[in-house]
Amino acid sequence: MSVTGQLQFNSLKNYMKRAPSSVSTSMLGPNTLQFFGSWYTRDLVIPHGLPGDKVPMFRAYYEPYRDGKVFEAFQDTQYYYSTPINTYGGTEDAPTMLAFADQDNVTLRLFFTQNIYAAVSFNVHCIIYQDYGAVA
Amino acid sequence: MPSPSLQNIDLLALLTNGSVDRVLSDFAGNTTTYSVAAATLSGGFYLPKTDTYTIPNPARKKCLINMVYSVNGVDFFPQKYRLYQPGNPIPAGRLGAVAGAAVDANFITFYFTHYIGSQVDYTMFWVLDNIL
Repeated sequence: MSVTGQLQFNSLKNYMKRAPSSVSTSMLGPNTLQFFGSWYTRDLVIPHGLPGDKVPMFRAYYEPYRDGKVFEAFQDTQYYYSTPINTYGGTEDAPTMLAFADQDNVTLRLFFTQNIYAAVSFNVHCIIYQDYGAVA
Repeated sequence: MPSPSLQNIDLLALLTNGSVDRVLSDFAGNTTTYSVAAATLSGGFYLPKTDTYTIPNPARKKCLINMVYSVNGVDFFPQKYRLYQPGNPIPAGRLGAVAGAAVDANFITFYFTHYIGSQVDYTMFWVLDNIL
């Protein structure tokens, strides 16, 4: 048996393999050039590198309050304005996040109602799966 | 070389240079229940009732959570942090209650919102896995 640096094992479970393009990084707050009347956005574009024109399955998370709490992406295409959780009268401006994929990239998009965090970084985490996905 | 006992090709060995989802805590047993008091009726409308509930994070590290929730113990929905336009009364076919969760190195925090005029008993199934 040769050792190639790869891990090989048998299991009675199935596994979701993660693509090397999965990332845990940070992205800046609102881009003031991306103002759409009542909200700002900022995009982080992640080339997923999957072969065969696949659109991958993915999971996206972020830390909207910059306090170490990891939330799943908001993923509500109807209502994406700040803030991510119901506060009803709260004054914080924590972003919401939508994530979407195409044949080349997974895009994480933060939405803000103010631009006060333009120079502030937000931690984001994106898991991109290796062997699953639709061929568009 | 496959194990001689391997009988199902769908369970074939894993060979990868990348990482996989490594579950930090098993799904079984990771059930949390919590009851949120009834929403308050005001002027003929139910006001949004919000609540949070915090438990220790058994993984003791920042990680990712997958969660589904139920308010009747039968129908489960993906976590959702925010409830919009429930209507008063709640339109037919709408649940009128959401639950979401966030994880830091020490705690799992559940967030709830509902517009229901009676106590809502939430059940959450959740699982944690590594960020990378």
